[in-house]
Amino acid sequence: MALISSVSATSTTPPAAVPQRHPRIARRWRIRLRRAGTITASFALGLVVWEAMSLLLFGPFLIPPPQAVLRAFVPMSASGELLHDVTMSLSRVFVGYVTGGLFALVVGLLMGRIRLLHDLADPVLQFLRFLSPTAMIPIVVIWFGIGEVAKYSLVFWGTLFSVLISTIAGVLRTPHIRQNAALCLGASEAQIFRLIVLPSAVPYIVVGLRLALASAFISIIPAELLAADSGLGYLLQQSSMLQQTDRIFVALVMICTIGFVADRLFQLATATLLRRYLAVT
Amino acid sequence: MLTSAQAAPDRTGAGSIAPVSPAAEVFAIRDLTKVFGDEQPYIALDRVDLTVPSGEFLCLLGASGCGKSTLLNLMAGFEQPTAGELLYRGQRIRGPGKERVVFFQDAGAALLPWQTVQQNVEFGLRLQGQFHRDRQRRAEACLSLVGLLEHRHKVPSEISGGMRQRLQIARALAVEPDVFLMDEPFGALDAITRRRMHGALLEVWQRTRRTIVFVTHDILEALILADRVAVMSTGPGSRIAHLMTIDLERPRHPGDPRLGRYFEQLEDILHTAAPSA
Repeated sequence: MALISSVSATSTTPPAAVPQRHPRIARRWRIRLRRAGTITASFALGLVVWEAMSLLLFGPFLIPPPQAVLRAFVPMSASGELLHDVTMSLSRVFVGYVTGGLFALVVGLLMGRIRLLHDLADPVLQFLRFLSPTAMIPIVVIWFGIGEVAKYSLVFWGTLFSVLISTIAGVLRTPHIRQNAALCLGASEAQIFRLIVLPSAVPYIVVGLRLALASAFISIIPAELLAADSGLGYLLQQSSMLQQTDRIFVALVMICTIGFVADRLFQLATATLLRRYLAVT
Repeated sequence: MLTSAQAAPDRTGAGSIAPVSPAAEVFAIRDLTKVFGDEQPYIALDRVDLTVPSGEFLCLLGASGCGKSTLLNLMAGFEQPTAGELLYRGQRIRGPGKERVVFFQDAGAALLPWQTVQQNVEFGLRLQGQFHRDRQRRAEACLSLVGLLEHRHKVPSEISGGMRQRLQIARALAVEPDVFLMDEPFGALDAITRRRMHGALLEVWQRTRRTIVFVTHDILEALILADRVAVMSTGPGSRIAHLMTIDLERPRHPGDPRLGRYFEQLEDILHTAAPSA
């Protein structure tokens, strides 16, 4: 509560308190401070609700309170057990996401550019899209066993569709005027693709890749639940069998944390590296 | 005034366009017909005849939907004629080419928003594989011609709509086109900016002596700019209803009574050209 009131206090600070020499910089900092304040307040509120549900509604066994989860977290991280599971899950997500993303990017660019390919492949694509990675687990286990390749291919599957669909959309929505203007200036087909279509599609591709990143993190857990001997999904499964709800919550919080951090890093990286392509006209 | 204007001195890109005798026709159009659609054919243009001599500033004037943009797109090579003849310097037009650069009303979509003003001008030269130093010099010359040199490091979203249109002009000038094909380029600008753009365009035209085909539905705009106005009848099946030579020196002022007489004549022609309206 104290946090929230301090936040509103920042937002109502009169402009007179701001140094007059750099009003724009001061304003930017005030916005940043305010955003940091609301994020902290949001998490604080979440912890309060969690604690209340644990104490008042479900009891500490069904919902272990934050401090109990922290108590379970300390030995798990000290022994390296947690780090091992996190590393395993992350490496699977990484391999599946990068291969799936690159594959979908290339295929999506081709499908967006070659009409016949699009018309032939798109109906099947729209059809297959409803198979979640979880639905693919039984057959993937038969195809690839329970090794790493099975996990990679499930994350690959989870990454594929959002990148494909958004890449195709980005290519198709490149303004015709821009392509025609480049044609007038003497651009070849290849130059139009490389210098006009690809940069114009960047905002769409970035959105697709970001959605796919979340989907990759979502895909890995069921795969590890059903067929794995390491990873956060495996940790969840083992803890469930032993009724260790505090360890389950450690795993759940870890999944959220690495996903959240990965998403933030993704946003930071794209905003920095691709800034000029993401700017709105 | 007009006759004293000569091609601007050009140190870098000279010679990319073969010199032609001033009398040569840039466009020779005979019985040009364009039909869209197969099942429910729409006749956009019906046996259009038009000749555009070199160095002329021609305005295509007509109501919306009269097919003036269709005619321009055919001249650009974006569309192919259904029937008839459309020659550019004696040759059939097979597709777009950098000797016939098109200007679009939506400069934001036509330009490259991820590149700076200068890089946008250099774009056409980059396509030709010109060296960085030559590109830079040429781009700076073109930018100063349209008064954008001091804004060369900005991106298109940071400059105004009128400046973006001037940037389109600079980008076209850089590749030394023979013809400017302009599709209502100033239609989205406010009246004051539009008047300034008319001045800027006429100055560029008088210094570079390119041929300009300018599509507009604004009688006054046509009168301020054109050597000749081609009035198109309302579609379907548009034709050139009338060709009028505007025999006035430039700069022309909207308040000039002689302009007013041309205005009335053109308005009458537009009315008879559009009986349904």
